[in-house]
Amino acid sequence: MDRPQIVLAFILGYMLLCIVVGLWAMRRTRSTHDFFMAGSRLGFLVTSVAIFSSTMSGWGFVGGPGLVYKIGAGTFWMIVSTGLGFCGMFYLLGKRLRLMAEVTSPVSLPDVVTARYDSRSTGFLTAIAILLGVLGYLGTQILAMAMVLQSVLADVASIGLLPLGVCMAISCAVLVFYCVTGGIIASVYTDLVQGIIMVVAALLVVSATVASVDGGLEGMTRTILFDDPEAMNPWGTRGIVGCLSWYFVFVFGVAGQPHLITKLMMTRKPDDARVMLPMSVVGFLLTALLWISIGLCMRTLVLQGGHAPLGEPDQASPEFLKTYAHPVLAGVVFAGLMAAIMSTADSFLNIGAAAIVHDIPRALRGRSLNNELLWARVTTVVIAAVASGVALASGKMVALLGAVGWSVFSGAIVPTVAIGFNWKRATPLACNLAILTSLVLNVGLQVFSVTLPHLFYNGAIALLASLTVFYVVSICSAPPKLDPDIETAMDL
Amino acid sequence: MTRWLIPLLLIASWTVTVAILLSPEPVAGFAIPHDVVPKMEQGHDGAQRHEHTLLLGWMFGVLLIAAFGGLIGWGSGTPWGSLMGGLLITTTVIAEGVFAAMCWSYHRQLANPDATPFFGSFPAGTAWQLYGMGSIPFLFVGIYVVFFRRQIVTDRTSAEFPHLSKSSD
Repeated sequence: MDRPQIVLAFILGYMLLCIVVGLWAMRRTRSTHDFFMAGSRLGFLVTSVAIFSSTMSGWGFVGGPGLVYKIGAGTFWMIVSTGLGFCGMFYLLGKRLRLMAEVTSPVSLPDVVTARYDSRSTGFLTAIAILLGVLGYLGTQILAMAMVLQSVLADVASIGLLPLGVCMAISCAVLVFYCVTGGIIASVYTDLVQGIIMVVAALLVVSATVASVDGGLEGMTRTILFDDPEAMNPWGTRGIVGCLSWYFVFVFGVAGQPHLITKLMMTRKPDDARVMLPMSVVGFLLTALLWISIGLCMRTLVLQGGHAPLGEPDQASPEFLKTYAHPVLAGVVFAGLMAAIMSTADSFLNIGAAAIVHDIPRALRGRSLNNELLWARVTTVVIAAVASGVALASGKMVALLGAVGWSVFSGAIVPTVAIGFNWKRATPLACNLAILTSLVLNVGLQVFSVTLPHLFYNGAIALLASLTVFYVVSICSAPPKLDPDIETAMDL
Repeated sequence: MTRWLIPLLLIASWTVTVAILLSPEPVAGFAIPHDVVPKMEQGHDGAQRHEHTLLLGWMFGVLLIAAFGGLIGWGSGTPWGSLMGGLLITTTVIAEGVFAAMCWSYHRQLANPDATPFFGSFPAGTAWQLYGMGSIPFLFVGIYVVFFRRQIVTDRTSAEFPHLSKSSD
């Protein structure tokens, strides 16, 4: 077998594994609660790995190295801040969401929001925010998945360069299969496999990148520094304001990512959070080594003239693996790339389906659809198809699209859930206005292609505005009357 | 303290943000295309592009770190006077110190770019960023794990947890 065939074999083996997990999980999925919440009986190991692997998405494994290649060390802020963001998520919600889930037996995050605020409109707006974010973010994941597969297949002599749409259809078929058959159970157990592959892949890649450049890591940093000192300094090419505004959205925004915080409601008991926080942080930071090392390595190799300039920054990971890694390592890491992407995409498919078949009908009609489990499966397929269309129609770079999805969630869900679930004074009106503020600012600034002075990140303004609206409106409103069970869960 | 902390942080954050947005931008701008390599950016003159924003940026960072420390202390329901509260405040102060050291290293390097000190294969400023700021989460993780049973999920929480679902039935 030659190199491209070895890589392809690893990817096919990985996809087969996902299908097997999907079939296994199908036997454990008997109700909507199983499909969306895994019956709230997950162990801490599988949940921890699912949390960090869902965070380190295709955006991290493909877009991240591309950003280091393009803008230098400024992108390290996203990694440093996400580690801190995990702490914020667990301090604010690790216990609280699990207690709330015990009181309300939710099927989704908007379910528990509706119960907390005793407001169907707040649950509805949360579901809309989730759905909009899912379409953007899921599209990003699917695009990244197709790009990786296209890059691998193009090197196999008997296959050649396939259209992006065909690669998208192949990879989506596997993703949709295990998501439809096994729901969130398949999702988190494939995440477990995917997370382990990602950690192994990241550790192996670090040694491969160091061996690819004379002088190792210091050789890379000195080459980049000699070419452009700013690129190798903490603010990269974007400057202090751009980087710190990312830092703001990433530190605070982790606690607003619905695909992560929903998993906090799936564990058996609140005590699990004690082990889950360290495991999630360590797992995330280990996998982030791939982001840093490939990005620095490819920027160095291009600056030294050892590699042709990349057509697009997002090609940094695939190009490194195809050119510099041992075939077996390339196979493992390409499988890791697919794993990183799929582990996030499956979570988005699940929460998107919940928003459509459960949250929005309940908010509008006061009750769920008949035969909800069947509709959940059908909707999963439809969402994947729509998100693929969005991804194919968008010409934007993978990393920046992902960041918009992240900031939509941050601005809408951080005030409503991360703060509002710990603050009895928070009101439904404040939540509704905060969500609307986030949606209008994030989508509006993106649609009109607004670039703020000093590259201040649009999502940071949206988050600051929604937090301010949430606080001011809550303080100015009459104190809400809480359901006694909700109040008990907030007091504990 | 918390009652005044939130409005103070919000007002301070908006003040610094508006000051940043109104400050003059560098003539060369940001994210400048690389001279030789397409699809790659460079930063050019750091002193010039940060002339009006280095101090404001540092203030913005200080506020972010203070807001984060305050938020998780408040969210965990820890009295500021308790041991855990004291450790959270100490860790936040350490984070502020590391951030200041990083900004100072960068500032010094701007004055003398040819004598960039290296630490752990990175320029000093980036080393503070990766090894310093990157280690802060582990301090918060340590506090969370050590004080978990005492302050977060206490014996009372564990005892009442099984009854939560029954009470709402």
